[in-house]
Amino acid sequence: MSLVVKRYIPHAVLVATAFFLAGDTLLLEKTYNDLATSGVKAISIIGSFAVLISITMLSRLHVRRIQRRRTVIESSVLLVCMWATMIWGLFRFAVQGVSPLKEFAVQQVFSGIVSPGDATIYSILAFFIAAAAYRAFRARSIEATILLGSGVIVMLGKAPIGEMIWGYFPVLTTWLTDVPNTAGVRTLILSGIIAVTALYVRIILGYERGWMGRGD
Amino acid sequence: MHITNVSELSVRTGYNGATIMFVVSLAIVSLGIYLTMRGVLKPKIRRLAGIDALDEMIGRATELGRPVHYTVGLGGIGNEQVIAGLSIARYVARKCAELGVRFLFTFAAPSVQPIATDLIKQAYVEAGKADTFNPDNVMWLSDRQFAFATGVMGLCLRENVAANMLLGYFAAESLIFAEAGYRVGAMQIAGTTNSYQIPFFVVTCDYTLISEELITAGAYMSGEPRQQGSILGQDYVRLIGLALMGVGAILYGVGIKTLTTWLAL
Repeated sequence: MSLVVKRYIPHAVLVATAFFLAGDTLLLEKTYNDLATSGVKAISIIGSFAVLISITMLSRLHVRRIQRRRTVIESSVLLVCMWATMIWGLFRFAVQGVSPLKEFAVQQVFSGIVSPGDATIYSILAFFIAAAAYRAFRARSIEATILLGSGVIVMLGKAPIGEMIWGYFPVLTTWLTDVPNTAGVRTLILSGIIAVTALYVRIILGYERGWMGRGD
Repeated sequence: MHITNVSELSVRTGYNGATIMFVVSLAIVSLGIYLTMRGVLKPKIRRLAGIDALDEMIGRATELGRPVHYTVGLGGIGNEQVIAGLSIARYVARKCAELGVRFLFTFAAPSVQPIATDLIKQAYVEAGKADTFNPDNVMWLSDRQFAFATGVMGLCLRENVAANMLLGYFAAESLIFAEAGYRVGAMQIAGTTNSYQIPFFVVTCDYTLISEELITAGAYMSGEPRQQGSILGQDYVRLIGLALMGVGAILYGVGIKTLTTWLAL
């Protein structure tokens, strides 16, 4: 593939799109704004084609795993069964007009497997947070000691027992979260935004080509 | 032919300050790049311990004979954190290819698949190990947050990874990834601009790239003056921002709200 197709055309499209959409955010003109809205929709549609590539790659990986039977294949079998369920849902929708949202088998996969699975993993976070907090709450240095102290104050401030011990724990907690914490977070956000601006300049100028795949 | 009903082009209400800051920021960063390329400015960039430790992490994986896991998290290819993560991934993949370490790359958004596959394949080509590239090691696990988290957690535990690199866009699943790496004794580096997830990474990972460190890591690693000039430019933009905030706070304190009103969206 020539360098023009591989590098210059994608880069030109990127630069034109970037300035076009930046203009849409800042400027007001009905025709221009409508065109930009349509453009964003078109980008979403093009992007959705990537799903097909990913599904193909994932399916190939799991089918090959089932064929070789070298590793644990239960999850691969389950995945292939889910594809079958999805294809059945699409078939019913295309041929019989039954909405996938009302399809019994598809609904069972979501309500019986996906939703409880999501909830389970989310709830595991509580234990992970406890384990991480245990490791963090060790006064090894001045910074760690300040973190430990702040953490204890915030915990006591948020729990009813804190107010029973000392009435000013909730007040101190509010001050810690509203003043030093907010100042720190805003610093991170501001520095991140400025760095992103510089990243976009590098991309527009063609110095940063990670988004382009091989690019060079 | 007469064109009718064409509305007048104007800046959106309340966006005057943003428009000027946008143009000024672009100009200053571009100027920083230009002056650095001409040799007028020579930026001195502080060391990023996390990036400097990448070689050590890959070397450790080589000695242990265990794979390196790298993820850019939940974001799609349009996310700036993912773009920054991919820049670092290319370097890590090349090093892994050179040293014969398995490089496992995971992501949640399908749009990352073609770009990441191409990028990592190119890294293997650059290392002269194109024949060892396995596209099955570039894995889309799921676009559902916790299904993806489960997939990554399972992968880290099954493959017993020696290094766990979490550089990209992360949300509530960040701690799941980091804890999985911790449990298999992996050296870990993480980076994101999401301020809510940074504390989790700080307490669970060996190295953390905080906010802009992730975004600038690609330029830092490249060592190219033109890329490092952009870091210098962004520092000047930051100084202007700080000055505006300081002046705005003082003016607001004495009852003059013009500047804060002008800058507010």
